[in-house]
Amino acid sequence: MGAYLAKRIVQLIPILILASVVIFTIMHMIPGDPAQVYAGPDATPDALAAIRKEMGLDQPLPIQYLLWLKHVVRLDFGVSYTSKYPVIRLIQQKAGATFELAVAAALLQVAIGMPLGIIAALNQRRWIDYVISAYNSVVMAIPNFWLGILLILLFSVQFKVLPPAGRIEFLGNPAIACKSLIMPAFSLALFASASVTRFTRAAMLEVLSEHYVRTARAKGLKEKVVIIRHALRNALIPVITVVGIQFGYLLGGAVIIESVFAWPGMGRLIMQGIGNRDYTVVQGALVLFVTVFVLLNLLIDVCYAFLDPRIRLSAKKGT
Amino acid sequence: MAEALVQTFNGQPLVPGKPVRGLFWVSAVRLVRHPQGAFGLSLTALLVIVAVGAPYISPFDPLAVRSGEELKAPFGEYLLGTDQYGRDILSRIIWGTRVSLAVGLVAVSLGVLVGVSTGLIGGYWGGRTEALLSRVWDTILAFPAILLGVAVTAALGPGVLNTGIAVAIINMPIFFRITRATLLVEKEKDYVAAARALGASDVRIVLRGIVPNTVSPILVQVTVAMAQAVLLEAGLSFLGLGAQPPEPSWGSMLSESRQYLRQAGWFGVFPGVALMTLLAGLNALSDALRDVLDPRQIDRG
Repeated sequence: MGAYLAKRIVQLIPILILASVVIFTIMHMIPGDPAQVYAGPDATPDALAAIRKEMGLDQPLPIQYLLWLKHVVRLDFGVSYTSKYPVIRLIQQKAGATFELAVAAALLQVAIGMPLGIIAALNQRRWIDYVISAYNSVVMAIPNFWLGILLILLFSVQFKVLPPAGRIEFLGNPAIACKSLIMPAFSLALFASASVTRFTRAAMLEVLSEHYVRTARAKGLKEKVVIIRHALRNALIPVITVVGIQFGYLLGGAVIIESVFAWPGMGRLIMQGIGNRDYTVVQGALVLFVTVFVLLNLLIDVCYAFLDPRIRLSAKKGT
Repeated sequence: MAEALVQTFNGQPLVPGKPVRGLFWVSAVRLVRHPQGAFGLSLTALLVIVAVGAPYISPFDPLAVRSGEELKAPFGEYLLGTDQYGRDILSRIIWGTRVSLAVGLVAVSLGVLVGVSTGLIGGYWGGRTEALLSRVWDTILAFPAILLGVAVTAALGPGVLNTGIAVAIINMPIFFRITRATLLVEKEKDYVAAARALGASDVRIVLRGIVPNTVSPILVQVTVAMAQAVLLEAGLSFLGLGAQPPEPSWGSMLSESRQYLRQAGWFGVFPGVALMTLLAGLNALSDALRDVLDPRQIDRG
């Protein structure tokens, strides 16, 4: 297991380095002069030149990249051009909100998707299976940001029960915080829950046809026990993988949903950074996003290996 | 028992004197007869017709601003109402179909072109070329799609063509992987060895022997990628990075509607319905294609 983990982590390094090159290159293709942004519109040409020299912007691009990378590996993303705050501080302020939104969406996605998948599998080729499948097709055609608008129309404009925008600090007042969290989280979760339903159904059907389920039934175990103890537990492995992969997409999707509900997270930070040509902020946020995304994928693979005794045991033997 | 003795080709019984249809024809017929396929095909075709015929069907000029006609309710003079500048929402939705499909076309064709060709190169020659290409495409896959779209459109500048290019970049690694995976399986088959023994060149083996076998999985992915491209375009336009005003795009219309939800709720509903129709059509089409092109299904007729 340790060797497997070490190998996987080493494989990440070239990807992260290449990703940092991609991010750096993209950011330097954005039109506009960072020194101008930093100094403000009234800066004299002399002042601009001084700032360029101070920030290393007069160096050739490869040198600039290496200097930037040297700081990034120490989690120093530089200073925001517009607010002059350290980027890492800005990220610290916003990352929690995005994480909170993604976790809430992930929980909702499982809460909606898994029961539907189990019901569909247990009623394979009966009408309820077809209804769930049709419902899934509809859900997969609804973009999350449009769902957000529809929810605002229904619950904020029509019934006036939920706030259309903003976030309340969760630890301060959980009840009110939930009221502003539920719509963004649900908008983000619904689309993703369709995949969870599909995978749960497929995994359950596969497990239900296994010999050990037949044996469990033959032993005279109650159907409930067979389904929960024998089938569901084993069907969970592929489902957990999907939920993990989806979590990355939920983090990405949060960028749009944050814009719908004025949710003060990483997505808003990135969009404002692009609007203000605040490169250091966008660069830092993108590096963080990609690193989390890549580590998440690693975590899923490791969990997968850990949960599935076949993979776990074969790894132990060193094969 | 007698039936089992009849030889079949692509699911058709071989009868002397009766011509045998090609795989393409058989698959097309199966797609039209597939319930989801017929549904998806008709929805998609409908929207393609709307896009092509936009100048003829749209009741008003989508860009015409009318003062005094702002945010008019639907089902009056304007079937779907007007927006904040008094522009006809139905006409803007009709013209917006062009933006969605154009971005889809650019994104998918460019994605297929680059993804499939690098997949063929990497998969056939293997070794260092393959390792290098895989690394590059893995890096692209390390970005959440929407974030890469945001970053690339920010760099290239907003606009319909640049959105198409951004989405194409997201599609390339997927087409690369599919092509390479199919190729690795096909490469080991006897017909490749036979062709090589006969002295066929690498290029000939890949283009004449292997490429036709990669068509099915790629075709399925094309419809999936098309739906994803439409979704990403709408998302990027929603964030202000796609189509630029006054050009009508479903995503930017939805974005504008947010300021007027209290006075004009329908403004936030109709462009989304158009988006949902196209997505439902493409999703159904890809599900049906997956069934129809599954080689295990073909001989069952």
